[in-house]
Parts: sequence; C-alpha cells; structure tokens
Amino acid sequence: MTDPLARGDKMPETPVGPFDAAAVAAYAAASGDDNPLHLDLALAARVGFAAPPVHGMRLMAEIAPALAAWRPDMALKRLSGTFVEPLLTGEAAILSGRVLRVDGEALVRISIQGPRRGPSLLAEAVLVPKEGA
Amino acid sequence: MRAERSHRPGEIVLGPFEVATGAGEISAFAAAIGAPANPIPATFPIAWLSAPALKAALREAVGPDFLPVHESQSFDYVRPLVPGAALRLTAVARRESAPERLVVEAEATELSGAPALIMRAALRLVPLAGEEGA
Repeated sequence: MTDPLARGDKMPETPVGPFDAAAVAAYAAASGDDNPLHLDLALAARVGFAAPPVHGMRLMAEIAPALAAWRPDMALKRLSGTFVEPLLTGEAAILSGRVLRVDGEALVRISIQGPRRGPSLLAEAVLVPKEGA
Repeated sequence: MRAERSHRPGEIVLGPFEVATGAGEISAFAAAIGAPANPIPATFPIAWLSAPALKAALREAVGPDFLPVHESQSFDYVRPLVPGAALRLTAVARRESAPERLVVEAEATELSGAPALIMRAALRLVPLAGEEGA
C-alpha cells in the first residue's frame, strides 16, 4: 500500500535527452508537427539558435511516463506547461518534480532543466487517485 | 472542414471533425517518445492539431511573415482516452497582438456531445520579416 501523496514529496530525478536530429525528426513525423524551426539548421540559426531546438511537446511527453512510474496509483487529470527556454538538439536535461498541494487532488510542479538558466519546461500536473486504487 | 468567422473579431472556428484514435497512430507516437502505447500517451492529442486541414488553417492564421514558436500547452482529461474512440474536435483560434500570438483552444467530444478532452496551445509568433541576410 502506497502512502498518500503529501506536500513536499519529490519525484525521483530523471534524465531527459539528449535528443539528436534523428530523434527530433522522428517526433516531427509521428506528431505531425513539422515546424521547420526544429528541423532546419539554417532557419534555427536565423532566429538565433546554435542548433535546432527540440519540440517543447517532446519534452512534455516525458512527464506522464515519469509520473506513472513514480505513482502508478494516481491518474493524470490535467497537464499544463510553459516552454521557458529552448533545449537544443544534443543538450541533456533533468526532470524533477515536487508536490505543491494536496486536497483530494495533488498538484505537482515539474521542471525539465537544461543547461540554460531557466527551465526548458515548467509544468504542472494534477493527479487524482485511480478508481479502485 | 468548415472554417468560419465567429462573432468575435479575429477568431476562427475550425471543425468539428473526426480525430485519429487508431492503434497505428498511437503506437507510432508512442515509439517516437519512447513510451508505451498503452495507456495512450497523455500528449498524443497534440497530433490532432496537426491533422492536415486544421494545420493548413492554423498556418493561414499565422501568416507567412511569422514563425510560430510553441509557448505553452495544457490538457484537461475529462474522460480516459480509449483507442478507437469516435471523437470530434472543434478548435477556436484567436490571434493576439503585443506580443503577436495565436491561441488555439480545442475540445474533443464524444458523438453524444460529452466532452472528453480540452486542450489549449499558445504559439508565440516570431516575425521573420527584416531578418533576411541577418
């Protein structure tokens, strides 16, 4: 029996990436998001990036599996996030998270932090106990 | 695909249209994110915004002088997503200025009209004009 989530509980830190150009292209194909910003080196350079940034949604895709591995007794009710800083192709990041509030639902603040000052993704997840859990 | 102006200025309503919930699309998406296909990946519905007709309409709303950069995204899961479910998506796209932005709010409903999922995407629009040769 798992203890209920409590304020301050931390997710285990998980490595995210690095993603190479092939991984970014595979995500573009599967998601349909073929924005050339993520695929075209010259265009990325034109808007000031040393390498094409990884899709923000590719980073957000790391969250639900990490939450499920951490708390398989909880279901995801809401997931939201802001893509603060880019994570460029070839850069590694770390996913971490902490429970901010519990009131029946649990609000978890999650960050995916790359090499820049700000996080590449600052997200919030609302978890609810799975039915029958 | 219907694309019509709503009563609010600068807002376009797209759909409703059927979205892909087939096992093939789901497993391709899951493979690309290195995650299991069951349960359906939580972010899989983002692919619905890239359905050809919707993508073309959004591209038109962005216009040729801007590069869209995904700024924020949310998903509200009203009902569990099930492979093969018949869902219809209606999206409302709203153009904002200062800063230039396109906000897309989309709701997937069951055929009964009951909501299954609500998502919201905010795209920052980076001007491309004037950067030629930079």
